[in-house]
Amino acid sequence: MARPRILIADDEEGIRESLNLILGDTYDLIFAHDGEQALEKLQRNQVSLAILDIKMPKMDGLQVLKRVREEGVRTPVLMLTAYQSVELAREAVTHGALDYLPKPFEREQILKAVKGIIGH
Amino acid sequence: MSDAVGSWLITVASVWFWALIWLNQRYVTQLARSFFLWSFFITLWSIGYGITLSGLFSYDVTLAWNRWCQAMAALVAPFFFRFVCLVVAQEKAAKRYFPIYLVSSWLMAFAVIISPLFVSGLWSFGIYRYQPLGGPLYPVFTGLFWFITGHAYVVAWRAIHVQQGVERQKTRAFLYGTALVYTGAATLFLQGYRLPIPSFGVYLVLTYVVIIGYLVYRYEFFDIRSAVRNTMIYSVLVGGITAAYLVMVLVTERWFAGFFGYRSLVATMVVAGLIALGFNPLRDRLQGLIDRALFTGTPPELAAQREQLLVEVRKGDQLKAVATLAAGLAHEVKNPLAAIKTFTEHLTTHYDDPAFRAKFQTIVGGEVERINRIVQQLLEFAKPVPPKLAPLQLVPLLEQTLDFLGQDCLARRIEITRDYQSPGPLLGDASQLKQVFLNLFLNSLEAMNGHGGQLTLTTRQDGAELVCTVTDTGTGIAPEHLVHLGEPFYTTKPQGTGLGLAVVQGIIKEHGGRFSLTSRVGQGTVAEIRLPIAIFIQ
Repeated sequence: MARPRILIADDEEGIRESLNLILGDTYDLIFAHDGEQALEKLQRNQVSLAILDIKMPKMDGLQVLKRVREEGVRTPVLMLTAYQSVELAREAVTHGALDYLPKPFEREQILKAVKGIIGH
Repeated sequence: MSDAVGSWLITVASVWFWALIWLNQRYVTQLARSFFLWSFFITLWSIGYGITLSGLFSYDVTLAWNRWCQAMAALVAPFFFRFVCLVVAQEKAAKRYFPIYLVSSWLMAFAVIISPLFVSGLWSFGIYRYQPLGGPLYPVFTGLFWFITGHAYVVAWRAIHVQQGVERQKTRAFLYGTALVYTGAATLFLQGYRLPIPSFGVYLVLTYVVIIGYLVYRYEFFDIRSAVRNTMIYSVLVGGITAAYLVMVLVTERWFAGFFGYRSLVATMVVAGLIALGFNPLRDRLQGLIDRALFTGTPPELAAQREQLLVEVRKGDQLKAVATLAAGLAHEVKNPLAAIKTFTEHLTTHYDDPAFRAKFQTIVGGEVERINRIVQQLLEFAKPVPPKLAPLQLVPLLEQTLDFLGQDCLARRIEITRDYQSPGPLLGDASQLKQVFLNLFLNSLEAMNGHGGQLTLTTRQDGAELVCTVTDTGTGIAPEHLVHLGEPFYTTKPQGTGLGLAVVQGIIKEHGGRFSLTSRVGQGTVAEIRLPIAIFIQ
């Protein structure tokens, strides 16, 4: 059985590599460096989950979320955020994101949230 | 005779202030320099005019001095024009017309001195032994003077319609203040048309020169609006006292004439001496009174208060800026912390994987370096150091400051637009200028809180100045509040909201620049900073 595919969009290499360490063994990961790339990859690829950072160049995570929802893409979305934009992340939830994860994150927290959405 | 004393007092006052100001180079701003060029020719005029009114010299000598003074009056006009243009920030008008006006006024001055067509002779009336008598071309001379002076007012008047808020009030007050002195000056041309009007107008000119000179020296001319407002009050009061003295002169002269049976030069000189003796202490007392009433302190007290307030404001503002930065930077630190944490958690399980170890080194090493840089930046901001001028480029500095607020902008739905037409080579203190822009950005963000909006940054070169604007689409500032923001040292309490801008103003001033704020309620605010451009020799 093919491994579930997850899109990780964050402009920081450190965060992308960290999520790769946590999720890379279990899931098939694709990466985006900014909002536009994230949108493009979401439109072209079938993914089981998208993890979007809120603060990204070109388009922020919230804008990406709104655009894909407008286009009818129902991919589950998790938002990544630092404490200052918790309100923004809550807003994301009202726009159809499933949850938000604060930075810095715990390995177990990430695994649990992802498992909760993908189911295995 | 008494008016001659007034006229010579103008000379003495002006020369004294030039000495004070030129000995203290830090007061020589572009505006002050242009003011002093204007008043320089007023001084040259006042010497000759004083000689004319004194009646102490022969007809021929007096006529020559009067032609000299009229020639100097011709040169007052172009320098007034340039001064007004600078006050209302219309450098373009100054550049375009000032050379023409200067050349034509020089020619006029030369013609007035050598030709009898402008000042044909002298005549007598009332207490005056000599007053100038205009020749057939005297209207041409006065016409040029009033044309240039009038044009200065037109430029200022147009600027008023473009300006908003505090700038507008400043210009308006300036116009009223100078109109007062020119009303006085206008009466001094009429004798040339054979109108027997006393030369009392010299006292209005004197008052203006004294007060403005005093304010340039004492208050560094940083708030011309208050300078002019106070000048007007002084002018009216001193004008009243002078009028009282003049009545005294006339009465005393009559009394002496009755006593001795003839008009006495001695009597005139005694009264003039009384005026000279009485005028200065009275003026000083008046200045003390007004300083106390308007600025709540005598000049030394006021200077001390201002220093103290400035120190407190700087300290408080710095704390506020640091607190904001700390919040912003805490966020910036969390990203690298997340990576470091994850990598160290995986260290034991992945240690044998050489690819992991390589990544560990680059990622963790890089993130630690990043945190170090962030802390360094925070320190740079927090350090209370005197300004250290060094060559820098403004645009990268703007971007660095903006980086601190990126998250805030995002959270508040604020879009940032940039129009950098000049990289902005400056001599400046990077951390202080960052503080300036952080304050402005925070104000803008606050103004746009909850509405979203647009923050526009521009830089462009205007002559020898770099013009940087920060524009927001926020709530704007009501005119009455804007006025308040303009004069924090005089009137507001330390808790006032405008104190951040006081620091901004202070720092910009220390950099030899200018800061102005225009705003419209409901539409937003434009902060403009003008700094001298530095040319770096590689």
